Amino acid sequence: MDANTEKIDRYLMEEMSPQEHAAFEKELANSASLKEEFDAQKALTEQLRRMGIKGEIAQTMNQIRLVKFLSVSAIIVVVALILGLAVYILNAKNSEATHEVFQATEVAIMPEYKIPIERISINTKNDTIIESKGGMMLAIPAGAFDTDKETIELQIQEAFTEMDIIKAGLSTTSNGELLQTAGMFSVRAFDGKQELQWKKKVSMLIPTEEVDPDMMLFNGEILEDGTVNWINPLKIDNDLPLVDIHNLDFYPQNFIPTLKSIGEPTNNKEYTDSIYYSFSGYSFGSDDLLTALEPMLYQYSNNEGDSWELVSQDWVDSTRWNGDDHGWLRMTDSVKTTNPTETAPELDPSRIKAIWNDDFAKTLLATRAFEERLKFIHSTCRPDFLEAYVSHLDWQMWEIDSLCMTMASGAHKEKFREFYRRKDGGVKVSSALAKSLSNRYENKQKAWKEAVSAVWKAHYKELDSLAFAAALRREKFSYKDAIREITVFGDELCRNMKDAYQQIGGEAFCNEPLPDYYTLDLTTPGWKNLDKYVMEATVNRENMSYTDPNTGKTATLTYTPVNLSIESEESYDRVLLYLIPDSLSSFQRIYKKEGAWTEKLNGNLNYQLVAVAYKGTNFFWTKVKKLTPGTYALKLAAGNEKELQDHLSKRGVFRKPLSKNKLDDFAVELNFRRFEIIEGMRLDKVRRQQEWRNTIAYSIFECLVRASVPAPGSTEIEKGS
Amino acid sequence: MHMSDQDILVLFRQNEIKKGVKGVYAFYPPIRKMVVANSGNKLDAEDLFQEVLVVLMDKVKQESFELKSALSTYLYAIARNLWLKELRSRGKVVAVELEEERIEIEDALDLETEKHYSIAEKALKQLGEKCQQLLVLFYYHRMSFDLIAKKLEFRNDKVAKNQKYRCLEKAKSNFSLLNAN
Repeated sequence: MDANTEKIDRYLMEEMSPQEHAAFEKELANSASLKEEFDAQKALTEQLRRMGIKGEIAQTMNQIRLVKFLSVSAIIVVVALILGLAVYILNAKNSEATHEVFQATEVAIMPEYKIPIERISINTKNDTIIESKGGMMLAIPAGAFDTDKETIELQIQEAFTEMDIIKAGLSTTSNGELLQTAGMFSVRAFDGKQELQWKKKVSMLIPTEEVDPDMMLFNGEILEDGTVNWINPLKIDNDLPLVDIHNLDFYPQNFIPTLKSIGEPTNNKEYTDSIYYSFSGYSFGSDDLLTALEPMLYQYSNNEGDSWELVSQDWVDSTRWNGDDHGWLRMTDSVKTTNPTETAPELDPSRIKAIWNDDFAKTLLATRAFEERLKFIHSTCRPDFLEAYVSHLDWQMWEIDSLCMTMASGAHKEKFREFYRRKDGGVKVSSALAKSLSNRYENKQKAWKEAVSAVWKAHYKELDSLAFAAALRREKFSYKDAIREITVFGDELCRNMKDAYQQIGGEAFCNEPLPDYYTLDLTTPGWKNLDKYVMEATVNRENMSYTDPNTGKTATLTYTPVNLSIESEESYDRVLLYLIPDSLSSFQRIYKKEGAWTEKLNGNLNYQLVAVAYKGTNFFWTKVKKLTPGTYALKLAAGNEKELQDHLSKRGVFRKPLSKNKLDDFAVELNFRRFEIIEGMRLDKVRRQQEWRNTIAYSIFECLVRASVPAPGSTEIEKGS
Repeated sequence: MHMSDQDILVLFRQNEIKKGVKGVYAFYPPIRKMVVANSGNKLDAEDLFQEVLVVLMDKVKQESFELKSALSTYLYAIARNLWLKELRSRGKVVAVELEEERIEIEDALDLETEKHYSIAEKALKQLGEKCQQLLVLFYYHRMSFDLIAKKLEFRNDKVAKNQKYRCLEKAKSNFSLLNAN
């Protein structure tokens, strides 16, 4: 055992005697190695303390969650009881009478000396849930009172035991008949001495030990003699009528309208279902599609054209790249991190799939009341709301509404409160069946989601590999094509050199055959002036005239323009023009310059011209046997690549058949252009599909656009509870 | 019962973690929402919230500490800062909205100490689960070796003590390795 470790330990744990303590500190000041050990051990001990605290916090959080869960069921019980109680919703604005009842009750029947007043100050700007001494819970929305003051005082009086009620002389009669009551209370709000009016509804939950199923909801009505009469009893246990579950609409509200807007048939449920359920496990923000559409390909480590790597955008961003000898990008640091895909803000269609079937035909899910709630739940994107209903099939609808109320906040809470107020009943189901259905829901939902996700994953993987293959092919082609172009340029340069030197009676300095790629180096000493002129003229395709100072002879090169136009060019998807110079090794492409097909022809060469075009996958072509400077209007005819290649290879079509090299290059070229056309069509299709799916996805996952970070301060926070 | 911000701070100052956490639990949902909306999951959110409270506990114990905003806002701001830091360390490009409205919370720890803590955290995480548990029980809960032996099912207190030193030594050597890199 390391002696230092123990010593440091004892020091940190404050177990040293004062002498030891001092000695240790002295040693610490003098020994760097001990100090290092000490720092490490201190950091570790401190970190352990933090871990301990975190553990304790985590434990408490779990307990709170458990308590929350328990109190959720407890609240339901309580809610059931309220119904037997008295005034519990105060609404000054909507019902003057209720307010008066409240006032009368307060002033006339609950004198302070009989029932003590509990005073609680609250912030009127927040939603507040408070618990009174008697265990009554009040949910007070922000701005419930008619005041600008931020802090006001609530005065609460409660009479929940029979003794309290008798002591206070409270009335419990309904149309002259005595009611059994579970309690009464009064809640008033004050700003200083001034009593405040209530502007919003306030929910209250009253504690009870057991639930009496016969409890009913009464409204308070003030009688002429000042006593309160409780009227309009509402029996809670009213079963909801069952509807054929297949006739209900469980889709998100915008789903069908969206399908209609993009021209999909909506009258066949099997079809709309198949679309809807296919969005199970749909993921957003994933790079899958990005890569599938626009892969980035880089060559690395060698220039053989065999080592290729597919690279996604985020990889490039986070890695350093260096150019290697040939200007290719090389990766120096290669750790690919794939982003985990973000799953959609849920209500996953698999959840709907799991409930929208005969299993649930005899439950409260098969009701118009649930249909309406589900429409709303879709808009919240919170599966826990849905699950509250699915896992409490043997409850009353309003009980579950109330449960959701406790799980929700803000506008969601208000909506569930609205549902809850309807006091919708349930559908009788044994709790065993309810439980087994709830399990079945879970299994089905998961199985379906996994199955669909797997299909999507496979699909994206395939798109990925197709895109990769295409990118690879494109990259390999352009590499070879670049070499081909440089070679043919080299040929032309060489040809011009020979010609120019001949004109001034010299001999060209021109290596044959040219290397694979040609290094242009205008500053190399030893090159004569003429070389420079020829080089410039060839690069710029311009006329040259050079008089040799020694011999007085003049060398000229000519480049003369040819202008081409293609009949109804706009009707083709793609048009390509090729010059085929007779004595060079390959063809030259004509590029469109400022909207016109124009090129300058070298007076030393004889040219043939081939034009090809595509409409979809249809091929069109034409040729010019001998192209001379001037203006041509080309008319393309439908045909196929083989036809063109046959023509090019035959004697008689041109003055002589093309060389094998040219024919091969042309075959590669045509092959690649056709591939590009097909690949482009594939991508278009993928893109269209993706647009189609995105449009629908937004109608299914209603929170998709709304998800954003709340700024501090603007956040709704429920105090208390 | 309704707890004021100051009540809650007092609880944390007095190490009344359980009660304190109950007081601030209502501030958790918006933080979770922020994390989940920014590439985190619920586990991250929970972890972050715990982290935030550890920071809060450190801060309330400083004499100079003064709460200048609502506690909810304050905690949310710490959470944002920590989450930003975490996202950066994960190599994520941080969403603009998360970055812009940042509230500056002065850092309780200087960089060197903070670096030490994060190394210490890594060094401890490299230990086995049981080692970590043992060390927390000893250093945080100040549990006797006797009790630790019972709780973690060691043969006796001597084995527990022995284990504790081994774990600590291992953590130290992890620490110095990590520190050297």
